[in-house]
Amino acid sequence: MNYILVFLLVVPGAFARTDAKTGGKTGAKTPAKQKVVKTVLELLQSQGPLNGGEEANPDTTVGGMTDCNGETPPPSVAKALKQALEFRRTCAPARNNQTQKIVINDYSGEGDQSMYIFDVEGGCVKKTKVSCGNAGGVKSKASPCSEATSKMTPPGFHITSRHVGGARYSEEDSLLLSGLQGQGSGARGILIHGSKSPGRASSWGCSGVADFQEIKSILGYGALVYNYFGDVKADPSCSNSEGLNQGPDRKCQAEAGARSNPDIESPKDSPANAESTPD
Amino acid sequence: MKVLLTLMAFTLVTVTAFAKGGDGESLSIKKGTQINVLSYDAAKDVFTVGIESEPGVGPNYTNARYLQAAIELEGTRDQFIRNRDQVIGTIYTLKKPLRLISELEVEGRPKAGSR
Repeated sequence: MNYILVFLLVVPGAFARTDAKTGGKTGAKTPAKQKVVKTVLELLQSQGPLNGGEEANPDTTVGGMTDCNGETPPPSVAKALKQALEFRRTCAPARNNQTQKIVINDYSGEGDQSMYIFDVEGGCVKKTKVSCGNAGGVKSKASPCSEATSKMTPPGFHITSRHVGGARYSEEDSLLLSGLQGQGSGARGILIHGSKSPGRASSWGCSGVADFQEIKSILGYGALVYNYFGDVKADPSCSNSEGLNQGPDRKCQAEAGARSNPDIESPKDSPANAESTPD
Repeated sequence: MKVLLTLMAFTLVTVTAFAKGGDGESLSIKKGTQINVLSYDAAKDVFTVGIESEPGVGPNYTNARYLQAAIELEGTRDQFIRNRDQVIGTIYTLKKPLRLISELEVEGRPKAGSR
């Protein structure tokens, strides 16, 4: 880092001296300097979306997604997205979504274990690999469980919330996942955070991604996150499988962390915290 | 000149990327946190600890030196390791921040039985 800072100080100095030798006016907007600005902007833009990632493909539909980082998402993701859009329609707290994003963490085993980010029209914004819980080193594949000490990933719907008072991660380097189906994930400290080993079972229930800061800037607070397990059943050792049932009687029950988030306004049409149901 | 300009642009992008930060694991647990020492892998010299208030955050790996320093237990490192059975299963309040070891570093160490 120090080398970079020294380099930043030295190189512009050399540049100024070169200008003086050639009679260039310091501070004038020469074509060369304009080119630098343009090049930097191009390079920064090439780093990825900086403005929240409003890049959804308008042609993409839930039934026939064609492009997500140049790949067609597996059928499991299309199915999960359909369920997410339906849940969002019927559960008021799921609509507390400032950035209008829906995340599908595909733990079904049908595709590679990835996080897909969609806009509410179903356009894919980004795909990236995501980690899941390993039950304390016991599991090598995703296994759903909402039991606090299970070290497995809680299934079902969540929203991203501000992570205040974390012991290891802070609000700068993580997003808290608050359960919307009685999972108690926020109380467990289930997060989205940075990881050097995404795409496999390596956490104690959190969703680890390689490019956390970009993900955070796209999602913000209140994004709907669906930990989708498809047909995967809860482990026999798991005593709490809240969030796994996505049948007609599925829950809509926001936990306290989701309700107390100052960045998320309560919906006006129904109490955000109600254990309830379809509005 | 073109080379210089390209280097400057590259440097600016690199510095911006550094400034964004936070894309990796956080490798420290705050002072004052209650931790539970879960296990010790002798071959790797790695303790695994849980965070009482956030059981979903982990795995949290550390070594004997870091753990002993953070909970301020007296004695040598060897004494600490010899008495590990008294440490494992015990809940401590961190007197200092606990330094952690990255998952990839732990995985890179030789494998053997635990405890």
